[in-house]
Amino acid sequence: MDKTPSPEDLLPLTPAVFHILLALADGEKHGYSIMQEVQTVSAGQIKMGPGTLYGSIKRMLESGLITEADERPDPAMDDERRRYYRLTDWGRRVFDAEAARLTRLVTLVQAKRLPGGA
Amino acid sequence: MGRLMSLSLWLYGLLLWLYPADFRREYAPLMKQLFRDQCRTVTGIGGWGRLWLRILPDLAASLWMEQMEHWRRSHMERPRALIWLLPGLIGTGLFFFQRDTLSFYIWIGGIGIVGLALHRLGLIRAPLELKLAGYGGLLMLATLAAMLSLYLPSLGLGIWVLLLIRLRQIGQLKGQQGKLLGLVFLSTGVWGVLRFINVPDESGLLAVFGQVLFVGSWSLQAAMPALAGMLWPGRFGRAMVLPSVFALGATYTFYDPGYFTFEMSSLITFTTVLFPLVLCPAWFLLAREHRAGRRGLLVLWAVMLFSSILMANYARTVMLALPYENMWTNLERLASVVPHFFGLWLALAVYDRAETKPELNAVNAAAPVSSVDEQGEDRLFAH
Repeated sequence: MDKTPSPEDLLPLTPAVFHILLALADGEKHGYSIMQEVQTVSAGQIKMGPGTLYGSIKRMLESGLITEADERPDPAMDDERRRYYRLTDWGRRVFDAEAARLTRLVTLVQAKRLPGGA
Repeated sequence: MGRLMSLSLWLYGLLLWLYPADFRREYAPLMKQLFRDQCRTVTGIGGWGRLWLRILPDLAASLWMEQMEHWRRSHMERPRALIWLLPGLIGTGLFFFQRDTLSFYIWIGGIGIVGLALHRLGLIRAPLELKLAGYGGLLMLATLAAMLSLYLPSLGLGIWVLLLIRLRQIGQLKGQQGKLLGLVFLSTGVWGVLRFINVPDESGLLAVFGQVLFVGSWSLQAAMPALAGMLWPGRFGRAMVLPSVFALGATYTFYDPGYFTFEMSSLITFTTVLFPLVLCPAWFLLAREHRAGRRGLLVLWAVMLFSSILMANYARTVMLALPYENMWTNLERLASVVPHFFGLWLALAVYDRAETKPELNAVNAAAPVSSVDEQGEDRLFAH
């Protein structure tokens, strides 16, 4: 009997994948805007080049985490057509599961740092 | 657009050709577009340097990953790339073959070891024969180390013990396979005893021990050509293994124990190698008729092989004016070739694919030096 995949099966996500999902969490984006948001959110610690970005996007498309939206110009940039991506429902569930995992970790860390461990 | 930007874009576009074709087709325009966006934010010469210092490691890392993934997808099931290597493999094989027998066997083992390593890295899914050759090669290397370390008996013995520990797993195999391997090693022991009796000047337990070890590895490697016949299923495959049997018989006849040389230029050798090939069609017909069955074929092969050894021995006497070796020596040579028959027997058993014979199913699913489980993974060295 086939086992229904669960989001936890894909955890933990690599930093690149998680940050791409994070960037897409609030709406569709194209490659450059994903890259910019990842750099901003990580305070410059994660700098993805085109190879890493589109390699990750390729694998995320294959695993159904994201999907291609359409191709249209970005009004904030130029009139060149750009490919937009968005989260799938499955991608959102995986993202939520990873966020929950990280939140639990942060909570544990904070608990250990407090005096008395409370 | 400035000159530096144009140059950078041109260079980056060129580097994108290093990616696999399918990836490049889909993502190269997007990657170029992204790179162009990055270039637009660069200021000053230092900015270009910093950009390329970020781009190059990113390109190298992603390129490696994409190429590895492409290779796995393209070549995992069918190692088509290996076909392009065939001319080189054959050429180097012939080179080593005409050099000396030992080099040839090392070449076989070396190819096998490389294939085994590629299989372990997940770059190819090695066919069973390649894995067997790899294990044979590892065994050969260990044997050579043992031979070279005859002056250091502890090292040689240590390697032998290590092999025994691993090969103990083979001994635990049930059915025909376990018996087969037991007989292989038993026959090498018999050969060692015969050699000790027949060549009294080669005295010393270590010398005999080394010879037994060596023949043990030879016997396993001798099965490789026979098992290579598995690449061609059915009757043609059976016919293909026959020349290897007689060539090996000739090898044993002509090899010099001191130097392991094989006189390729000798007309006798040429004749001996041609002899089985001439008879090959007859054997092919016999196999097709299935009159003698598997045992019958083995008996006939034994007769033909021994005849080959005797004929070569006689030819040596006539052509090279060498003394005729006594029957005891000829028996010794036959005993040294006995392990080959078990390799052939195994090959035939796999050929038969006898679903109606449960014990042969175990043979079908396994190999002399490895046990292959349902997922095709090698269990022998699994932890």
